[in-house]
Amino acid sequence: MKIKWNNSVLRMSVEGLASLDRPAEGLSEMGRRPEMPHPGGSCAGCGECAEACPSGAISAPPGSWELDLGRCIYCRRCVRACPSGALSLVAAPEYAVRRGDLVFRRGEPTDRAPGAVDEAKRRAIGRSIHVRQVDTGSCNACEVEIGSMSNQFYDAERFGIRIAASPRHADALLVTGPLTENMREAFDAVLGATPDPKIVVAMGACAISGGVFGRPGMSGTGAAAEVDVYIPGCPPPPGSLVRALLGALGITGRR
Amino acid sequence: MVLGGSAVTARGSLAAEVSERIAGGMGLACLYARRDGGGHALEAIMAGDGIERITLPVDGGSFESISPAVPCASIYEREVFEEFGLRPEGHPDMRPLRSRSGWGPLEGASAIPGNGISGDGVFEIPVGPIHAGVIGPGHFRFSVAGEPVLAMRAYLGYSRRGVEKAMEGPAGADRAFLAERASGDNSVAHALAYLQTVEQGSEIPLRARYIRTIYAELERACCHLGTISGIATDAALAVPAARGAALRETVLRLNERISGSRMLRGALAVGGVSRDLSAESMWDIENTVMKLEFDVLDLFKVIAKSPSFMDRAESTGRLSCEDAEALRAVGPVARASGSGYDVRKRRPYAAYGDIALNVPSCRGGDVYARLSIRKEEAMESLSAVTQCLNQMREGPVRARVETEDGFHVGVVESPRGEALHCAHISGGVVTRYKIRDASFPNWPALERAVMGNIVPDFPLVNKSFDLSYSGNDL
Ligand code: SF4
Repeated sequence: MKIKWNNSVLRMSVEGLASLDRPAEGLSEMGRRPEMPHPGGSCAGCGECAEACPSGAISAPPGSWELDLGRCIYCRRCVRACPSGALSLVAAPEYAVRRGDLVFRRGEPTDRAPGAVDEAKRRAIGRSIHVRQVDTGSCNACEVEIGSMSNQFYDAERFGIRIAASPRHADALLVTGPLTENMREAFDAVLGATPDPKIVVAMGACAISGGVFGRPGMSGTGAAAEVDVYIPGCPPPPGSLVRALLGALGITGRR
Repeated sequence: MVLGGSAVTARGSLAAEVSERIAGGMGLACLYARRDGGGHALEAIMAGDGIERITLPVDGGSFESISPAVPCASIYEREVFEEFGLRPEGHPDMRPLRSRSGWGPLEGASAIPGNGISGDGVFEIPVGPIHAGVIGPGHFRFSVAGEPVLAMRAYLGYSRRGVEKAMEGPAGADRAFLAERASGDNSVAHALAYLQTVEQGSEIPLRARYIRTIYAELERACCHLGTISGIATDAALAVPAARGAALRETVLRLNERISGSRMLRGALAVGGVSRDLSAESMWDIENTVMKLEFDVLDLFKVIAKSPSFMDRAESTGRLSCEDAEALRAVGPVARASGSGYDVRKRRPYAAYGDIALNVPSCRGGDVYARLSIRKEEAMESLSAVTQCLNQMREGPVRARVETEDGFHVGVVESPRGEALHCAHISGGVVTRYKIRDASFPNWPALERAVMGNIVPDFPLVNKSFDLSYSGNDL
């Protein structure tokens, strides 16, 4: 059988991409802030965006439109696929403490206050946080960005964010990956080894929902632990990581 | 682009067929199984000046192991057994490969075995799957007598998330996004290999091929800078480590400016690239790369001038040229142990046929050798980017292509070495998709290189190999 590649993805011409083409804009010392698609008035409800979404983050049954940022891989194929150019990019939240806060519907405001984790936990942690990264089957790009968080541009340690070598030294677990079958046992062990009150952070689409690998039995950190903070992205950029951790823990209002 | 390649059906012994080609200068790039009618078939992919595929139909539940004759086939046969239940008869080392909690034919018997080394003062140290660094999951077993390592066995598979299976299905669906996530820091390389299986040798516009080459080389430079920084970290050289990390961030930020993604995700598209590079972007790349060239050289000088570093790096973690060849290690690891193999040179794809590229190689085989090869390669990458920028002409960056039924292979030189994607398409559906990341054949090489070293040097040796857990496990 012969397949001719002539689908919605091919339709994007160089000119059509002009709206996506905003190079250095907004790239500050701590990196660019993430953006997400949101439909405007000209959305005809055709569902092409949902069709184009590789990770099933958009659902657009007739009459409604919903984006689950916890599944989004920020590829913007939806924006390119929309025949009426109705999707515009708006500022996306860098974290959420409730899973539901990552779901955006048409017509709803997109600038939700992200909130912070439980007061008692915040008080126990204080003004600095030791995190242990736990890879439960990531593609390793999330690890690259956790690593970047420590470089001179972000220097997370100056804000009190430190990478701990062992879960026994950790206040928080920074979990990446969709939680594979093979990591289950080790993940349970690591949860047990981390002193309470611990904070579980699900980082990236994989850990939040299974992401591009999501399927029954592999749906992210939530399947085995209570998640306190969700940091969407695929991967979330280091600047977002820093701001999300600080924001969720109420360590500082700045940055 | 070299695709498809010639195909033969093994007449009798697969071992003889494979050995014959190895003697003729080819290498076993991959060996995998697939369902074929009611039974199975084994596919051996041989890579040399071209690609050859040898098919062996398998009736029943076993086949004759080729590992005794071809040592590098060992891990592939273990994989075939775990995934298809086909037993390689006469295989010398049937330890579980990725099976951990009882899936696959190894059900119940998937506990990790001891190394089986005993004697006065011999201890076994289990490490992982969760490590002290920011790194993927893997379990290592060291047998030690005092400090020196007598043997190390790596047990991976913790990142097994089913990428190959997810790549199956309608051939008309664009799965580049999934290929990019086979090994995240090698996104471009895997996307490119996937696209080769889709584009199947169709003409890709010249400008698009140059842009693809630029992306691939920026990714390589980025990956090598990360590794150089990591090696410095593990040798406790704080300043060079920080400088290396900053240089990598420079490339990641450049990537974001020119493509919108720090990992260049979504930058490639079926038939070309998803958008053209503007004149400003090209100027931006040229500028950044020029500065990087100075910085990388300077950084390397600082590292190599440190006696304490050289003391740790020289003669540490030596992979002999013989071992590298027998295991068919690939990429910078192999090139630091005598190999000259590089897909970009051997079977040029994208725009590699049009630019001058040196393939650095040495025979040292130790941490220092791998470090220098990486630095040389990073410099070559930067030079390749500049050449592409200079030679590129205006033109289209996207073409319509067609995907046809049959067997299609995509081979690229990823930053970690030769990476392979094989697609079997019938009736417009991908029925079997095999990915072989460069890390897969290199993990057994790490087991060899660690022998005789002391345990505290393992992180350093491991980092100098820079292997991908996710690419290995898929
Ligand atoms: S969320 Fe995305 S970047 Fe992070 S591990 Fe998963 S696939 Fe990779």
